[in-house]
Amino acid sequence: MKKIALDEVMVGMKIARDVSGPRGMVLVKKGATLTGGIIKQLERYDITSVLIEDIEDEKGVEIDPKELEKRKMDQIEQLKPIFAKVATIPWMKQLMEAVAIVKAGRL
Amino acid sequence: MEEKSFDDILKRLSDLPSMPTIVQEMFNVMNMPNCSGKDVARVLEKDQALTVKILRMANSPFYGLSHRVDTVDRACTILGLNTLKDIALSVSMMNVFKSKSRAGTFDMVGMWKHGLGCAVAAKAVFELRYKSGDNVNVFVGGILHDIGKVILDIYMPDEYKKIYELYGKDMSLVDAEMYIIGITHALIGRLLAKKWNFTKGMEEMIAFHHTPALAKVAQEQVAAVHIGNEIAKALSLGKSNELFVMPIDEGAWKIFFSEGSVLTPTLEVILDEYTQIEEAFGLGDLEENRKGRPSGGSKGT
Repeated sequence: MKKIALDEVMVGMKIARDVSGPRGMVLVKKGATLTGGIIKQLERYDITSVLIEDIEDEKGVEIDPKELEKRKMDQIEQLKPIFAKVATIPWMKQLMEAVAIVKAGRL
Repeated sequence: MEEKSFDDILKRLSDLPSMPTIVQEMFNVMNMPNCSGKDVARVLEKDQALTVKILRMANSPFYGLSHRVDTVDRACTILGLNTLKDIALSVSMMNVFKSKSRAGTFDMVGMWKHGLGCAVAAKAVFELRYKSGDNVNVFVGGILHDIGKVILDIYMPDEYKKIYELYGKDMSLVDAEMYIIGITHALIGRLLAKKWNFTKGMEEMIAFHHTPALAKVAQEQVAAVHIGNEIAKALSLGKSNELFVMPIDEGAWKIFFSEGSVLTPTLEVILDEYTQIEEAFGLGDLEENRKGRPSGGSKGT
């Protein structure tokens, strides 16, 4: 189980503990698999991090968060050529990074 | 500009297809003050193929219905009039321009997929700030924003081939278009929008998708399509035939995102929705038209 910041979570990750919103209302139950919609919902409730079950690939082998980080960096390398014209613009860099995170989570 | 005069180009574009009757009727019905599902159904059901496509879309996972709908009227009750209009317009527009690429520079299916990606992204971005329901035009605007490229490919295949040769070397696409034909795909799209009496907002989404600051009546919608276009390219949704992600206008960006905005959830939603809707749009039908054709432009990653 690991605590992961909401802007680093990826679709397909499993929630390890119930996530509660204001007044104790449960927003996402333990065991739920994160979808884009759920992440958005959590963001709406200003949730900043969630506890995630250890990440496993389809064969049940645990994936090291370091491996995910590596995948993200690989994605950034792949994105650099098409972002070549906009690399110095802060919000475009932010977009490139977010695309890399999302793609790494779906490999 | 080379060879062809601007007047000559305009003259050739005066042969743009006229608006298909069914799209015309859709617009008329939609502009009626108390338009109902029955009104829309009456128009759409004249075209069986279109009806089938609309029902296929309505029943796709994208809309998450718990049971099948088998009439347009029923689809309207469940999905809402705005969504139905959305689907009907998009599907009928794609039908008009589904012919295969003439310039060979162009992957028509990839292009419509890019339009769809832009539509999904623009809608998701727009919804960050405005309630759904207002986003109908944004979706259709996203699908149609590059209609000028489709028209150029069909009506000026030779020139368009030259444009892509230049673009591949060292020029921006818009500069290459200006150099060879003296007009950009955004302006060509605008001419079609005018000819077909699109709403002013729709015209702006097409005309200003690279230059959102020029929009006057639909700034937010134009900004959403502008951003959606670059997001679709960044996520490699379809093929825009462009090699680079271009700068997103700062003013447009700031309408929807602030400094600390987290982008990943929006991107996740866009990818999920795109996957579902791509299937539902039945773009496979178009694939048949282009077997064995070379495809140009960037493949993305």
